Amino acid sequence: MSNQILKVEGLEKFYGKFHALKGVDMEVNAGEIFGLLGPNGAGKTTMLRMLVGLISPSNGSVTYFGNLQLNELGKVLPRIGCIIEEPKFYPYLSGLTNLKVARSYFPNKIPDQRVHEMIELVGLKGRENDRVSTYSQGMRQRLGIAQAMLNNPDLIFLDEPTNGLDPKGIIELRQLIIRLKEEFGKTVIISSHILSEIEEMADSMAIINKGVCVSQGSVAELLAKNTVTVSVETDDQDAAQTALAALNYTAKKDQQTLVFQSELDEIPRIVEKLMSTGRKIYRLDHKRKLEDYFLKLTAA
Amino acid sequence: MIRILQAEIIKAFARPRSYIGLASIVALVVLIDTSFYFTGKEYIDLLFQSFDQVFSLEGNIINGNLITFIILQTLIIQLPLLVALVTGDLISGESALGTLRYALTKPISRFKFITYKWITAMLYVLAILILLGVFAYLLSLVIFGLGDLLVLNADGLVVIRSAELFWRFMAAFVFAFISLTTVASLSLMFSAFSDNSIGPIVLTMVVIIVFTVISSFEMSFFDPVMPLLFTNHMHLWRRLFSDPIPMTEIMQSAGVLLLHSAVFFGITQYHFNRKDIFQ
Repeated sequence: MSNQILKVEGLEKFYGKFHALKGVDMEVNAGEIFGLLGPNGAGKTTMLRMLVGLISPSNGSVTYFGNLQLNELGKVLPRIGCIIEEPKFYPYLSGLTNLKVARSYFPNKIPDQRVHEMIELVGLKGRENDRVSTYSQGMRQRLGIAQAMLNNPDLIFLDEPTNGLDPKGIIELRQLIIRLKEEFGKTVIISSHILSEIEEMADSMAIINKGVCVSQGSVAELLAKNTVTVSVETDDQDAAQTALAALNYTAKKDQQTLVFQSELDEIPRIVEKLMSTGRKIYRLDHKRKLEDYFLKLTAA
Repeated sequence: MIRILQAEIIKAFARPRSYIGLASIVALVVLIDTSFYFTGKEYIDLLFQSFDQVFSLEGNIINGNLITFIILQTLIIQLPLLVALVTGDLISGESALGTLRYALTKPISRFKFITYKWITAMLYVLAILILLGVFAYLLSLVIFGLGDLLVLNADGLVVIRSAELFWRFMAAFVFAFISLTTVASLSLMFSAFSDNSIGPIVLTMVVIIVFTVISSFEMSFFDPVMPLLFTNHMHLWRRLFSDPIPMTEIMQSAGVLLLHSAVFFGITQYHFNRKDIFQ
């Protein structure tokens, strides 16, 4: 049985003559964090806006929860939560009243208890009666997640959720998003242009560039295809550099470490070669670099 | 339904600008009543100066009914602005604030969303008129007492007995409600087309001013459009203080105003249901 919660086929959007989305296909499985990665202006927000019914597609189809279509938003939206661009609230109302306004749009009454639970979940307890105008960006972002979670949705869309947050806020929000998946079993679709964000949180991802989906798959698979950055620490950098040159690698010295690019499969051969020099190897590690892959796909 | 309406009312009435209209009405009523209390006789003498040679006026001319009528006549011109100030912002204000996209990603159809906005606009119009009616009528009656109403019409001077005035005032407020409903529907329509708060308010006022200016030109060139200008029908409430009351004419005007409201509402729905939300 398919675990698919969202299927996008041939989604297109024209703004006059401008072709903003050029037939995007995408599949998202239930219970995963899905990253929608792309440079600014790639079409990520346009796509999310279409998926939540704010703008209508020029062509293409979307299937939600296995059987619901875009023209059935009345059935889709009760099962969706979202933050599109930065979360916006009525600044002259309190956080609590803002959530009560949001809940009024749902056909089934969302009890007060649920509203307070969500306030607690996002760490705004004690500030819920303060006007939103007094909230920091991070608090607004968290209130945004509370409103997105009010209806206990199956699918959550978060558009650039860490935009404008300080490092502490980013870490807290990432932890919260991971909690949504792991503790509450939610499917979360995050759009971002920040590679590390997707790399750290997402299970699967799609890369969109200039309105085209240029790559899609699990983050692990996509990274496995990728060149890795290898760091080696030995007692003789020159000898190690020579050994690597014999394997056609150009390693650069970075203080006590040699750094070079390699394919993941090549690492055992590299280790063997370095060991054969008879020098001491204190450390060898590699980092999968999504950045390289992303730049390769989105270049020009 | 009640929950959404409650939320819409909280949103609309929590904004300081919603109280500008209400507060200004209270202030103006108090100001007019006070000025009549101290200098009302001078004003009335001046007003009826031309009748001095024809007949003499006896009794309590400056009474609560007359003051209410004068207040109504004075403020009814300003009310469209006060109404547009709030209703013109109901949709575009949300768009400018960025909250529109949040409301529309909730399971509420756009048709319902606009309908609730329209109902909220009507409730605001009602609030303004109730405040004006109750406050102006009660305060004036308390200060100046009851009495017959003298109205200067194009036909001449009409005296309306005190006993007949309550229902005439009520009818006038109902007619004013219908008139202001048209203004509210117009500004709400502009609001659906706009993403900023000021545009719809200014546009509504421009339309009212242009229509009023055209109406004031008594030239045959404008004759074909005259019946279509809703501003031409808005002042018909005054005819409720004629004798006899031209009911057919008043009902026709009310019908034209309601038709305008329906058309504006229809255009709003049609446009908003097809609108891409970017803000």
